[in-house]
Amino acid sequence: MPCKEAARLISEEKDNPLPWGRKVILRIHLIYCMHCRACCRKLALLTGIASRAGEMVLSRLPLAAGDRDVTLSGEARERIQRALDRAIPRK
Amino acid sequence: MIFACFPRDFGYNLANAIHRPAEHPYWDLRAGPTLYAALRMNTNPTGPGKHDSTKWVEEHGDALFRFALLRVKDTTVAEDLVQDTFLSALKGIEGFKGESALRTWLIGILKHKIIDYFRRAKPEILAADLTALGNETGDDIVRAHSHWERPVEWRGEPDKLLENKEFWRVFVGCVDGLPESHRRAFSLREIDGVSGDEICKILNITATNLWVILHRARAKLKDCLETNWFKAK
Repeated sequence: MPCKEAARLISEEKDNPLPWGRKVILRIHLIYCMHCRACCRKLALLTGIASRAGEMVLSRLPLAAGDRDVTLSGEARERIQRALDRAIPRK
Repeated sequence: MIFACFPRDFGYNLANAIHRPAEHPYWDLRAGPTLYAALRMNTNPTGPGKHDSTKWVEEHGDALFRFALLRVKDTTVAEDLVQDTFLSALKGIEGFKGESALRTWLIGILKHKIIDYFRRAKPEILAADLTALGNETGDDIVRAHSHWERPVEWRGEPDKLLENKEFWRVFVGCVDGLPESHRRAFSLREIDGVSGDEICKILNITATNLWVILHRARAKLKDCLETNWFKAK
Protein backbone atom coordinates (compact mmCIF):
# COMPACT_ATOMS: atom_id res chain seq x y z
CA MET A 1 0.00 0.00 0.00
CA PRO A 2 1.54 3.32 -0.96
CA CYS A 3 1.86 5.95 1.74
CA LYS A 4 -0.47 8.32 -0.05
CA GLU A 5 -3.27 5.83 0.17
CA ALA A 6 -2.41 4.95 3.74
CA ALA A 7 -2.57 8.60 4.77
CA ARG A 8 -5.95 8.95 3.14
CA LEU A 9 -7.28 5.83 4.83
CA ILE A 10 -5.98 6.88 8.21
CA SER A 11 -8.01 10.05 7.90
CA GLU A 12 -11.04 8.27 6.48
CA GLU A 13 -11.07 5.68 9.23
CA LYS A 14 -11.96 8.36 11.76
CA ASP A 15 -15.21 9.07 9.99
CA ASN A 16 -16.04 5.93 8.04
CA PRO A 17 -15.11 2.47 9.36
CA LEU A 18 -12.99 0.64 6.81
CA PRO A 19 -13.83 -2.78 5.46
CA TRP A 20 -11.92 -5.57 7.18
CA GLY A 21 -9.53 -6.21 4.29
CA ARG A 22 -8.44 -2.57 4.00
CA LYS A 23 -8.04 -2.33 7.72
CA VAL A 24 -5.65 -5.27 7.81
CA ILE A 25 -3.56 -3.95 4.93
CA LEU A 26 -3.42 -0.55 6.60
CA ARG A 27 -2.26 -2.04 9.91
CA ILE A 28 0.44 -3.97 8.11
CA HIS A 29 1.59 -0.81 6.35
CA LEU A 30 1.74 0.97 9.70
CA ILE A 31 3.93 -1.74 11.13
CA TYR A 32 6.69 -1.19 8.64
CA CYS A 33 6.27 2.49 7.76
CA MET A 34 7.43 4.87 10.46
CA HIS A 35 6.36 7.92 8.50
CA CYS A 36 2.76 6.84 8.35
CA ARG A 37 2.88 5.91 12.01
CA ALA A 38 4.10 9.39 12.80
CA CYS A 39 1.39 10.82 10.57
CA CYS A 40 -1.21 8.76 12.42
CA ARG A 41 0.05 10.03 15.78
CA LYS A 42 0.01 13.62 14.58
CA LEU A 43 -3.53 13.34 13.29
CA ALA A 44 -4.61 11.99 16.65
CA LEU A 45 -2.94 14.94 18.36
CA LEU A 46 -4.59 17.33 15.93
CA THR A 47 -8.01 15.92 16.72
CA GLY A 48 -7.28 16.31 20.39
CA ILE A 49 -6.15 19.89 20.00
CA ALA A 50 -9.13 20.84 17.89
CA SER A 51 -11.61 19.29 20.29
CA ARG A 52 -10.19 21.50 23.01
CA ALA A 53 -10.27 24.65 20.91
CA GLY A 54 -13.96 25.13 21.64
CA GLU A 55 -13.40 24.84 25.38
CA MET A 56 -10.47 27.21 25.35
CA VAL A 57 -12.83 29.99 24.46
CA LEU A 58 -14.51 29.49 27.81
CA SER A 59 -11.33 30.47 29.57
CA ARG A 60 -9.78 33.88 29.15
CA LEU A 61 -7.13 32.75 26.71
CA PRO A 62 -7.67 34.94 23.70
CA LEU A 63 -7.57 32.82 20.57
CA ALA A 64 -6.48 35.09 17.82
CA ALA A 65 -4.53 34.84 14.65
CA GLY A 66 -1.90 37.47 14.13
CA ASP A 67 -0.69 39.86 16.73
CA ARG A 68 -3.83 41.50 17.94
CA ASP A 69 -6.01 40.19 20.70
CA VAL A 70 -9.43 39.81 19.24
CA THR A 71 -12.32 41.61 20.85
CA LEU A 72 -15.60 43.05 19.74
CA SER A 73 -15.14 46.57 18.43
CA GLY A 74 -16.63 49.34 20.53
CA GLU A 75 -19.15 50.07 17.81
CA ALA A 76 -20.26 46.44 17.58
CA ARG A 77 -20.51 46.19 21.32
CA GLU A 78 -22.81 49.21 21.52
CA ARG A 79 -24.93 48.00 18.65
CA ILE A 80 -25.44 44.60 20.25
CA GLN A 81 -26.18 46.15 23.62
CA ARG A 82 -28.80 48.41 22.06
CA ALA A 83 -30.46 45.45 20.35
CA LEU A 84 -30.54 43.60 23.65
CA ASP A 85 -31.93 46.60 25.49
CA ARG A 86 -34.73 46.91 22.96
CA ALA A 87 -35.57 43.26 23.42
CA ILE A 88 -35.69 43.22 27.20
CA PRO A 89 -39.38 43.29 28.12
CA ARG A 90 -40.27 46.31 30.18
CA LYS A 91 -42.01 45.50 33.42
CA MET B 1 9.14 16.51 28.39
CA ILE B 2 9.24 14.18 25.46
CA PHE B 3 6.02 12.32 25.17
CA ALA B 4 6.14 10.86 21.71
CA CYS B 5 8.24 7.73 22.08
CA PHE B 6 8.69 5.75 18.95
CA PRO B 7 9.36 2.27 20.38
CA ARG B 8 6.30 2.40 22.59
CA ASP B 9 4.10 2.27 19.49
CA PHE B 10 4.08 -1.44 19.29
CA GLY B 11 2.73 -1.79 22.77
CA TYR B 12 -0.20 0.51 22.17
CA ASN B 13 -3.24 -0.32 20.23
CA LEU B 14 -2.97 1.74 17.07
CA ALA B 15 -6.67 1.36 16.53
CA ASN B 16 -7.19 3.37 19.68
CA ALA B 17 -4.99 6.11 18.36
CA ILE B 18 -7.22 6.35 15.35
CA HIS B 19 -10.63 5.86 16.88
CA ARG B 20 -10.31 7.40 20.30
CA PRO B 21 -7.48 9.90 20.32
CA ALA B 22 -8.64 11.43 23.55
CA GLU B 23 -7.93 8.16 25.33
CA HIS B 24 -4.58 7.61 23.73
CA PRO B 25 -2.14 6.92 26.53
CA TYR B 26 0.59 9.37 25.79
CA TRP B 27 -1.60 12.28 24.85
CA ASP B 28 -3.93 12.60 27.75
CA LEU B 29 -5.91 15.63 26.85
CA ARG B 30 -8.17 15.51 29.83
CA ALA B 31 -7.36 18.82 31.39
CA GLY B 32 -4.62 18.88 33.96
CA PRO B 33 -5.25 20.55 37.30
CA THR B 34 -4.12 24.01 36.19
CA LEU B 35 -6.44 24.08 33.24
CA TYR B 36 -9.43 22.93 35.27
CA ALA B 37 -8.70 25.67 37.78
CA ALA B 38 -8.66 28.27 35.02
CA LEU B 39 -11.96 27.03 33.66
CA ARG B 40 -13.60 27.01 37.07
CA MET B 41 -12.48 30.54 37.81
CA ASN B 42 -13.90 31.89 34.63
CA THR B 43 -17.26 30.22 34.49
CA ASN B 44 -20.12 31.60 36.41
CA PRO B 45 -22.72 29.09 37.53
CA THR B 46 -25.67 30.86 39.04
CA GLY B 47 -29.09 29.57 39.78
CA PRO B 48 -32.16 30.39 37.76
CA GLY B 49 -33.56 33.87 38.19
CA LYS B 50 -30.22 35.42 39.04
CA HIS B 51 -29.12 36.34 35.54
CA ASP B 52 -28.28 39.91 34.86
CA SER B 53 -28.61 40.20 31.13
CA THR B 54 -27.35 43.75 31.14
CA LYS B 55 -23.91 42.38 31.87
CA TRP B 56 -23.96 39.71 29.17
CA VAL B 57 -22.32 41.69 26.41
CA GLU B 58 -19.60 42.85 28.72
CA GLU B 59 -18.87 39.46 30.21
CA HIS B 60 -19.42 37.09 27.34
CA GLY B 61 -19.41 39.20 24.18
CA ASP B 62 -15.73 38.81 23.43
CA ALA B 63 -15.61 35.09 24.10
CA LEU B 64 -18.60 34.43 21.85
CA PHE B 65 -17.12 36.68 19.19
CA ARG B 66 -13.82 34.82 19.23
CA PHE B 67 -15.61 31.51 18.93
CA ALA B 68 -17.63 32.80 15.99
CA LEU B 69 -14.50 34.14 14.27
CA LEU B 70 -12.96 30.71 14.42
CA ARG B 71 -15.82 29.51 12.24
CA VAL B 72 -16.63 32.36 9.85
CA LYS B 73 -14.20 34.69 8.13
CA ASP B 74 -16.34 37.78 8.07
CA THR B 75 -16.24 40.03 11.14
CA THR B 76 -19.70 41.45 10.45
CA VAL B 77 -21.21 37.99 10.21
CA ALA B 78 -19.53 37.01 13.46
CA GLU B 79 -20.95 40.11 15.17
CA ASP B 80 -24.42 39.31 13.87
CA LEU B 81 -24.16 35.74 15.11
CA VAL B 82 -23.21 36.99 18.56
CA GLN B 83 -26.12 39.41 18.55
CA ASP B 84 -28.57 36.71 17.48
CA THR B 85 -27.22 34.45 20.19
CA PHE B 86 -27.85 37.02 22.89
CA LEU B 87 -31.33 37.75 21.59
CA SER B 88 -32.25 34.06 21.52
CA ALA B 89 -30.77 33.61 24.95
CA LEU B 90 -32.91 36.42 26.26
CA LYS B 91 -36.04 34.78 24.87
CA GLY B 92 -35.13 31.39 26.23
CA ILE B 93 -33.78 32.47 29.61
CA GLU B 94 -36.69 30.96 31.49
CA GLY B 95 -35.71 27.57 30.16
CA PHE B 96 -32.19 27.85 31.48
CA LYS B 97 -32.09 26.07 34.79
CA GLY B 98 -28.49 26.84 35.61
CA GLU B 99 -27.36 23.24 35.38
CA SER B 100 -24.38 24.39 33.36
CA ALA B 101 -22.42 27.59 33.36
CA LEU B 102 -24.09 30.49 31.61
CA ARG B 103 -21.29 30.76 29.09
CA THR B 104 -21.50 27.08 28.21
CA TRP B 105 -25.18 27.55 27.49
CA LEU B 106 -24.54 30.64 25.39
CA ILE B 107 -21.88 28.82 23.38
CA GLY B 108 -24.41 26.04 22.76
CA ILE B 109 -26.83 28.56 21.29
CA LEU B 110 -24.05 30.08 19.22
CA LYS B 111 -23.14 26.67 17.82
CA HIS B 112 -26.70 26.24 16.60
CA LYS B 113 -26.68 29.69 15.05
CA ILE B 114 -23.46 28.83 13.23
CA ILE B 115 -24.93 25.59 11.93
CA ASP B 116 -27.99 27.43 10.67
CA TYR B 117 -25.73 29.96 8.99
CA PHE B 118 -23.86 27.18 7.23
CA ARG B 119 -27.10 25.57 6.14
CA ARG B 120 -28.33 28.78 4.59
CA ALA B 121 -25.05 29.50 2.81
CA LYS B 122 -25.21 30.10 -0.89
CA PRO B 123 -23.93 27.09 -2.84
CA GLU B 124 -21.36 29.27 -4.68
CA ILE B 125 -19.22 29.51 -1.58
CA LEU B 126 -18.47 25.84 -1.53
CA ALA B 127 -18.88 25.21 -5.22
CA ALA B 128 -15.40 26.43 -6.13
CA ASP B 129 -13.77 24.06 -3.66
CA LEU B 130 -15.97 21.17 -4.67
CA THR B 131 -15.39 21.44 -8.40
CA ALA B 132 -11.70 21.45 -7.66
CA LEU B 133 -12.19 18.16 -5.84
CA GLY B 134 -13.94 16.50 -8.78
CA ASN B 135 -12.88 12.91 -8.86
CA GLU B 136 -9.78 13.40 -6.80
CA THR B 137 -9.15 10.88 -4.13
CA GLY B 138 -6.94 13.25 -2.20
CA ASP B 139 -3.91 11.07 -2.76
CA ASP B 140 -1.91 13.91 -4.22
CA ILE B 141 -1.62 16.05 -1.15
CA VAL B 142 0.60 13.86 0.94
CA ARG B 143 4.10 15.12 0.52
CA ALA B 144 6.68 12.66 -0.65
CA HIS B 145 9.11 11.79 2.08
CA SER B 146 12.38 10.01 2.07
CA HIS B 147 12.03 6.68 3.76
CA TRP B 148 15.50 6.84 5.20
CA GLU B 149 14.91 9.99 7.25
CA ARG B 150 13.16 9.89 10.56
CA PRO B 151 9.93 11.85 10.66
CA VAL B 152 9.79 15.04 12.72
CA GLU B 153 8.15 14.28 16.05
CA TRP B 154 5.81 16.65 17.79
CA ARG B 155 7.38 17.30 21.12
CA GLY B 156 6.02 19.18 24.05
CA GLU B 157 4.00 18.64 27.18
CA PRO B 158 0.30 18.54 26.30
CA ASP B 159 -0.88 20.64 29.24
CA LYS B 160 1.66 23.36 28.67
CA LEU B 161 0.89 23.38 24.98
CA LEU B 162 -2.83 23.84 25.46
CA GLU B 163 -2.33 26.73 27.84
CA ASN B 164 0.11 28.52 25.59
CA LYS B 165 -1.36 31.65 24.00
CA GLU B 166 1.23 31.63 21.23
CA PHE B 167 0.38 28.09 20.30
CA TRP B 168 -3.31 28.96 19.97
CA ARG B 169 -2.43 31.96 17.85
CA VAL B 170 -0.60 29.69 15.45
CA PHE B 171 -3.41 27.15 15.48
CA VAL B 172 -6.09 29.74 14.74
CA GLY B 173 -3.87 31.21 12.04
CA CYS B 174 -3.63 27.79 10.42
CA VAL B 175 -7.38 27.25 10.54
CA ASP B 176 -7.85 30.69 8.99
CA GLY B 177 -5.70 29.60 6.09
CA LEU B 178 -8.00 26.79 5.06
CA PRO B 179 -10.39 27.13 2.13
CA GLU B 180 -13.91 27.86 3.32
CA SER B 181 -15.41 24.40 2.77
CA HIS B 182 -12.45 22.76 4.53
CA ARG B 183 -12.72 25.12 7.46
CA ARG B 184 -16.42 24.49 7.87
CA ALA B 185 -16.17 20.73 7.57
CA PHE B 186 -13.18 20.50 9.87
CA SER B 187 -14.58 22.77 12.55
CA LEU B 188 -17.96 21.06 12.55
CA ARG B 189 -16.36 17.63 12.76
CA GLU B 190 -13.44 18.20 15.11
CA ILE B 191 -14.42 21.21 17.19
CA ASP B 192 -18.14 20.59 17.55
CA GLY B 193 -18.11 16.82 17.16
CA VAL B 194 -20.97 16.78 14.66
CA SER B 195 -21.50 13.40 12.94
CA GLY B 196 -20.45 12.90 9.32
CA ASP B 197 -24.02 12.38 8.13
CA GLU B 198 -25.18 15.55 9.75
CA ILE B 199 -22.34 17.57 8.24
CA CYS B 200 -23.23 16.27 4.78
CA LYS B 201 -26.76 17.54 5.28
CA ILE B 202 -25.65 20.91 6.62
CA LEU B 203 -23.10 21.61 3.90
CA ASN B 204 -25.05 19.78 1.21
CA ILE B 205 -22.17 17.57 0.10
CA THR B 206 -21.79 13.84 -0.43
CA ALA B 207 -20.07 11.57 2.05
CA THR B 208 -17.19 10.99 -0.36
CA ASN B 209 -16.73 14.75 -0.73
CA LEU B 210 -16.64 15.01 3.03
CA TRP B 211 -13.92 12.41 3.49
CA VAL B 212 -11.72 14.00 0.89
CA ILE B 213 -12.29 17.47 2.35
CA LEU B 214 -11.50 16.28 5.86
CA HIS B 215 -8.38 14.48 4.66
CA ARG B 216 -7.14 17.60 2.91
CA ALA B 217 -8.03 19.84 5.83
CA ARG B 218 -6.27 17.62 8.34
CA ALA B 219 -3.19 17.26 6.14
CA LYS B 220 -2.99 21.01 5.58
CA LEU B 221 -3.38 21.74 9.26
CA LYS B 222 -0.83 19.14 10.16
CA ASP B 223 1.71 20.66 7.77
CA CYS B 224 0.91 24.19 8.88
CA LEU B 225 1.26 23.37 12.57
CA GLU B 226 4.43 21.44 11.95
CA THR B 227 6.05 24.22 9.95
CA ASN B 228 4.95 27.07 12.16
CA TRP B 229 5.18 25.55 15.59
CA PHE B 230 6.81 22.18 16.06
CA LYS B 231 9.65 22.73 13.64
CA ALA B 232 10.14 26.35 14.54
CA LYS B 233 10.49 25.80 18.30
